[in-house]
Amino acid sequence: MNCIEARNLFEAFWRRTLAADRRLAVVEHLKSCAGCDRSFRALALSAPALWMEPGELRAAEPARRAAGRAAGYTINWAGARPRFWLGGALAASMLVAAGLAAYLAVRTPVESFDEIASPDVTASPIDTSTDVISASYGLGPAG
Amino acid sequence: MATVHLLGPDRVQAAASDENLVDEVLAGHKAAFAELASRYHRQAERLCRRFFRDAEIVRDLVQESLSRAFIGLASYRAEMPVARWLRTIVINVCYDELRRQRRRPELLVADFSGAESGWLELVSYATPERIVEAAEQRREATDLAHRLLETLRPEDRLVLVLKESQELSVAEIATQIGWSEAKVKIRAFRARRALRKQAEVLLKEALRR
Repeated sequence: MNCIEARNLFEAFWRRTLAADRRLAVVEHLKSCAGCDRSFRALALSAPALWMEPGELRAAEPARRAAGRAAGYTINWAGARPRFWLGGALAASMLVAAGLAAYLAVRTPVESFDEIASPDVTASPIDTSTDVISASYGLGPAG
Repeated sequence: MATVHLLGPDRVQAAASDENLVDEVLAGHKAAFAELASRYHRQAERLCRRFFRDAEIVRDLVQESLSRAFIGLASYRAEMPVARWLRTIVINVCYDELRRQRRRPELLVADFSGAESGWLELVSYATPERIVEAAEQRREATDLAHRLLETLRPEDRLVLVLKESQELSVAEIATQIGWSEAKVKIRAFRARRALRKQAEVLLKEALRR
């Protein structure tokens, strides 16, 4: 797989619409190509807003936090040390978290990507012109 | 075009085509607009949420879009499907709001929350699969992504979102916005370049820490 092919598949890779072998090919290419790896990681910072459905995350958040509280600690996502709840607060927070999770699960239903995606989209190139693709990813002229 | 003149049972309205409903509204049966709005309200909301995270703003913009559609129905021409005509209105409303809002200056790692710094670090070091998986679970990934988009010029951001999130072609975007295809391509190119440049600076800084 060359760089243009790999970069054309970044979106499909992110949206999980690639067949397993193509997915693996992208992963292998990123392992061996520092430029494409940098490009993927740079794209990853904006991809959640561009390539994920609004509301897709919100449905996952309450359940995750409820699970965290049920385990007896709050999770600092920056990787700091966990703090531990007192026993009485734990029971109350579990009830609140479970209720909130149920409420938000109803209010913000997850829409599966399959519902939204066109059935014949597999890996759609970001741009139709390979010259533009090459230029936008810092590669030399295509071909 | 067949026209339904009677607003009979709800199922009559529900079965009416978009164009029939438009005819009904223009004939003075304003209640037919409620059926039209209910068909496209959700899509309008989803499109607005591509640009704005604030629920209040999204609600206001959807309402504004439907109001403009109602007022502008007399200008609707059957050459364009009603759905696409409505989408054009929503896009214009969002674009107006993008231009109205202040553009955010470039992001600095020093301004990041702990969670955002953690996400940045993960993007720097984790495997591609892990990055995708984590992005689906972390609010800070979406928040940071939106903040990055907020640093773009309104016209660049508009084109990028329509191209990447709505998967519209260059030709479709050009038609919807009323720009040349060349302008759309240039804006998309600039937007990607600006995002990439910012992202690379942020990732370099994360590696240095």
